[in-house]
Amino acid sequence: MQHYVIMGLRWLLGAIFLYAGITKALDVAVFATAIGRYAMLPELGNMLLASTLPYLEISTALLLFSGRWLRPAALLSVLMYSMFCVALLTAALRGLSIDCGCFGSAAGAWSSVGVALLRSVSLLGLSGYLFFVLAAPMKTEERK
Amino acid sequence: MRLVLLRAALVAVLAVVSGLIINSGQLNALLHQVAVQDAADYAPRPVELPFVRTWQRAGKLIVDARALDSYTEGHIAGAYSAPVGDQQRLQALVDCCVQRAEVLVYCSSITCSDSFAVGELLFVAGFKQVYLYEAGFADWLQQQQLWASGSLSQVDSVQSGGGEH
Repeated sequence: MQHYVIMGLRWLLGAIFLYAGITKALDVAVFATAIGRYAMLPELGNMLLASTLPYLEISTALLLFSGRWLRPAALLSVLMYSMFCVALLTAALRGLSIDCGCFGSAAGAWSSVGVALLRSVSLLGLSGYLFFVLAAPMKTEERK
Repeated sequence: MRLVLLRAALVAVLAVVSGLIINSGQLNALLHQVAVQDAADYAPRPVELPFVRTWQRAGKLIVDARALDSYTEGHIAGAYSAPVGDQQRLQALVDCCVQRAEVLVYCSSITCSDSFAVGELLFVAGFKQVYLYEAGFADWLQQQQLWASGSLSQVDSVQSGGGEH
């Protein structure tokens, strides 16, 4: 049963990362503008993040799909969703009414800060679960 | 766990490097982008002859805003020509020298407004401080003639013809 849960999580997270990464990578300037709306980084920082994050998402997606280096991929997923949650939470606390930029310019109503925060927290939970589930067999083996 | 961290770091580094290489063009353009300023903030500082002489001796940037014919006939030594309306020359000036941040502009005399107009364009294009020699080339020439009558060593400060930048 757990095997199917892991498989489902891998494909779910992989599909989301792949879609998000491709939509952002196709229009880096739009993504940099979306990051700029959070008012957390200087202009160059926005551009650097917009230039690199999509490729990290795509790499993570490919690892999740391939089944290679699953724990590093799950760890990267946890780290990225943690970062998204912090950014979205600060935006929500500052009362920013912005497009989250989560899927480039393709998300429409699904990209409001509130919805994006709920989604990111859920996916952070799933990523964390995947990371610890994948760690369990290793610990068992280590104990042997 | 250490291996997991190392692998995650390796993936992250490879992804970051890929992103930087693929988007190097846009990043390079951003790094070399000139901060465009608002014309409403344009506040040129008027300066007099002693300031201009010190400025010129220091080899700092001077722009002649008069028509090219007038510039060719005579100009302050070391001045660049950028007449009003000559976008090509203005752009060349911005491309070469905007990093110098400060520029002194002059035109014919106190009655002309070309130095103000060119100074405004240079400010909007990114020059941080614009100095206006409002008395202009007429004042400069007059003072040079006065100096020349007392001391020939000043004559080389006026360059006539053939010295176009």
